[in-house]
Amino acid sequence: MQFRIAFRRPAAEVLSALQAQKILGGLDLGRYYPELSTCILMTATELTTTGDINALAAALEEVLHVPAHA
Amino acid sequence: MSPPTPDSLNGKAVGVPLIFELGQAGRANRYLDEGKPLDTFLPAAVLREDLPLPDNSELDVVRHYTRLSQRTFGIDLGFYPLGSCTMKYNPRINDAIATRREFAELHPYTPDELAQGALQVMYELERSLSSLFGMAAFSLNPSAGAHAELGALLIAKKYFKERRETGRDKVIVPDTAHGTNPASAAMCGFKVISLPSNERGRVNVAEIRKVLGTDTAVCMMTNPNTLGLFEDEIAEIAGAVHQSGGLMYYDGANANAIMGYARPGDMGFDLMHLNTHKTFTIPHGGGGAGHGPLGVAAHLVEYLPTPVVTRDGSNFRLDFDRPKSIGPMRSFWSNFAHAARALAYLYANGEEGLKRVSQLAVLNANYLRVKVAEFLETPYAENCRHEFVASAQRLKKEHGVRALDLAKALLDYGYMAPTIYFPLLVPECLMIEPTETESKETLDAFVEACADGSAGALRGARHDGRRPRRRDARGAEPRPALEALKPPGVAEGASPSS
Repeated sequence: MQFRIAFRRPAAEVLSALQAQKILGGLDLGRYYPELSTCILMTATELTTTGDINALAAALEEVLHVPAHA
Repeated sequence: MSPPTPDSLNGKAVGVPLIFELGQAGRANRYLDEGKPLDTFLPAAVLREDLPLPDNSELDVVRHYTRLSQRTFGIDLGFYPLGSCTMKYNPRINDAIATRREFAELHPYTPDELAQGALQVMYELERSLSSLFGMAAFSLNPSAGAHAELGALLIAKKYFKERRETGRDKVIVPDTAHGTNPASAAMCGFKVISLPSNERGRVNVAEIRKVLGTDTAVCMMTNPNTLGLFEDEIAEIAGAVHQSGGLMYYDGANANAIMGYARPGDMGFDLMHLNTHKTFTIPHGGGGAGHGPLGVAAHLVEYLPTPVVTRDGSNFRLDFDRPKSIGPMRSFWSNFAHAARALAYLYANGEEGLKRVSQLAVLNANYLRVKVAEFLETPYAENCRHEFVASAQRLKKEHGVRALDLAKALLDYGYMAPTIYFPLLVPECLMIEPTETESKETLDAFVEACADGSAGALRGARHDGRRPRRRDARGAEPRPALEALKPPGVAEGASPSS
């Protein structure tokens, strides 16, 4: 199952911040659709655990609380 | 090799029954806790009670599929001299490397900076192939030889379009070419001109000059060709094609003959493909994934499919920003595990080792050619490269034994049959490619089987006489009644589309 999340900042920036926390957060849709450059395509499978999801949510919370670069 | 024992059901030789014909209702072992009822996971509307699954004990299932696996023939079971297919031993170390967790669990969308090792493998393979075959660059994108042919012709099309030479709509293909060449050209919208070879089994530069013109787009050639003969006028042919403004395409299916001795780039080819699954020891022959790197000369590099792996100092990255590219030819970047296998083989052999590979492939083919000539015609009686063609024409004339009969006799002896009835210009043709990985003992045993098989085929029976060979007419295959599998409401003989 996969879904799109839109952010208020470039997806590349969010993904890079997640990567610093050892999380590959999904696909930067701006790579294929320039108009979707703030969107990430995320996927969960039957192997994704509640722990994985909680860790991603916590990391995202931290990432998004950091003020966006001007 | 002794023939396989006929499979039996209740003591009667019938071949292997279908799994649906075995078992009884309620026989399946129930080792596992069935857990929660299925409707806790799935909507009741999609649950089916009447699914006609076979009901077999675990032991019956194991025996059934083990038996089927034993009836599957491959290079790991015996000699496989299928001409132009280069069925050689696939070293196990290639698999050990390609299936390392670091490669096998890598997602294609992993950011470049976290996939440097995999990108380096692709980069080094690309550089090695370019150097070995004399091309400016390769794309690892295409999934097999014919896929790369299509890519190359799309490149040619775009190249001529940009040069405003859209009248170039003809592709020249000699009659010694692989069948995929004209098919790829037609698929790409070109008109195909078939060029006859001469009495030496080669293309004459004088012949090709007759069909060259301002409408020539590409000349597709295989060298050595499918007769196993080196096109000795290749430099002149390439010169004439270039003079007419056309491009030269090299079909690399027979590259096992030339490694370290001749390079398509030096022969004058502008485009080429390799079947790394053939030449660079990747298991193939069961319809599985292939790998068809597409090489180009300097003036065509910018047209290569995307992405291309580039290197900046010690960093590797996938380059998608190539405005003149024909675009990607498949999802993701390459059949990566095959790239890893091919590179492992390249590095294990080195330059000298690859030369020896081609040397032994040619030696084995010539040994077999001379031995087989004792009882079959070899229409081109000169030193061949990695393969050769023999003909059963005399056997057919004198005894009514065709190439097909001989091929079937060889199957009875436990050998894969050679390629038969190809190339089309040799009647009752058998095209034989032993490869470098077979021993003299294996080749001698095969020759003996060929000799015996020629005699056995005269009787139209299995060589061991145990049961007659099944007729080769269409429709002779077994037709088990699979009542349980018929979709509900479909009348006997009804067309599925009606």
